[in-house]
Amino acid sequence: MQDVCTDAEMIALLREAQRSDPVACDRLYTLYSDKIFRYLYVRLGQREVAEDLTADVFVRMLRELPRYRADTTRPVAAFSAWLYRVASNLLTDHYRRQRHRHHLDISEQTALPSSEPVPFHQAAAAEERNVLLDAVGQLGDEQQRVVLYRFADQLSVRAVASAMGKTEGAIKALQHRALENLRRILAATDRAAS
Amino acid sequence: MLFSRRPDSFENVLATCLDELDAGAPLEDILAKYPQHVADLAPLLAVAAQMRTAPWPALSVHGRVQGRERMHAALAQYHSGFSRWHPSWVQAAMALVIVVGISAASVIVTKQDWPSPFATPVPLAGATATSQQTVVAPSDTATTTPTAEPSATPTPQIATATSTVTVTASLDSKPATVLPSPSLQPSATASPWATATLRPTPTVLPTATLVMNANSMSQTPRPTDTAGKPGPTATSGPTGIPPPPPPTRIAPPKTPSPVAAATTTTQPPAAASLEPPTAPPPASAPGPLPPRR
Repeated sequence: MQDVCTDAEMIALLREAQRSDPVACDRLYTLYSDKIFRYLYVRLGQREVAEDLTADVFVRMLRELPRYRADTTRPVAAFSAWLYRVASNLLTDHYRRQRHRHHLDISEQTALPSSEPVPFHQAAAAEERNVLLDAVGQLGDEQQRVVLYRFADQLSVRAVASAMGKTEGAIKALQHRALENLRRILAATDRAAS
Repeated sequence: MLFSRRPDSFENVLATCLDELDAGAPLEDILAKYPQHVADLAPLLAVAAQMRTAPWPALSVHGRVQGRERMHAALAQYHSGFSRWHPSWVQAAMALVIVVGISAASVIVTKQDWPSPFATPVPLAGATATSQQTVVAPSDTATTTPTAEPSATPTPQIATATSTVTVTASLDSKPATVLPSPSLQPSATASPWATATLRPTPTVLPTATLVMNANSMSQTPRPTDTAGKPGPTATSGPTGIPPPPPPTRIAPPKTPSPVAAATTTTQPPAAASLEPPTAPPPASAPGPLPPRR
């Protein structure tokens, strides 16, 4: 299934979803569930919690959708920003409830059975991924979203600009700053590790 | 944006290099195109390549299915009508409408002359359920004619309950026997809620017959009880059940109410019959009636 949709498609999709059409809601879930999950996962570092919160985001989306006013000029970007805002609010609520500190559990993210021996290259890859996720998690909200859109979802600058409701130049600048920050964080991590 | 307007800005060069990297061009070839930015581009493109090839987490199959199920469950709840999606004030308003509707319906039902299900005599453990009671006013004559023997083993609770039912049934099922008198309100024979509208006065004492009836349920009938009693005439029924005691023996309340009357009627005999449940009066050998004064 196509992972992006045009503005015209989004307007029709939102109209149907606001009428509680299950197919339209399911399409929205397909479009955004992985993005929302990654957004939450890089902050939480816990897969199960991130998956639970992802489901909560879409339940909240259904609840708030009748009151959502679609932006006809840039519906994809407006809805995407709105959905990320819902996720951010739920994340704040989660932190408030749990008083949970951001951390990454390496053993949880390997997703390998503990009874089997872990090959060295798999363990190294898992650790590298954890380091990267940890670094992304230290970015600001917009930079984080740009990184996730550009490198995890592999969207073009134009698509990211549409999704975030910004100009392409702004996305390029955010991308630049995000990569600079990542380089700095990763270098610091390497120094700490050595 | 200031930087985005410059075609040769570093952000544009970086974006172009990233596009080429996405297209699969080697990193060395890309850097060779921008020798003036190599020092800045190289570390950033290395990080970008690392990010590009990183195994980004995705929803697991279980998490995806679970999330989709929760969303559709919420949708089904939304379609079910009255759900949590409604604001709280809507729920409160609907609850208020329901309460007001029930209250109005009960008022309408109460004001109509429909026979109440409570007016039907209910046989309780073989006790007298259809005793006929005639209150003759203004004289103090009360005649109790039970049509069945009282229960052989009446419990205090049964006796109390029977007394209440007897009054209701007799006044309700035999409205013609209640003679109009100043002591009875006119609605006593017309309303199915006779027990609620019947207001005894000091001259008419339906409560006195009630006392007797309750007494007869808990005590062994003694035909001789009626003999030599002062006061108004009391005759027993064909079964030999003792007649009710003189109504004048129990002083009616000054401002009687249905509840007060019921409470008053059960006082002397109920006090005798409402023994603790652990020691009910023996049915086979019931004791004599308490002396009346």
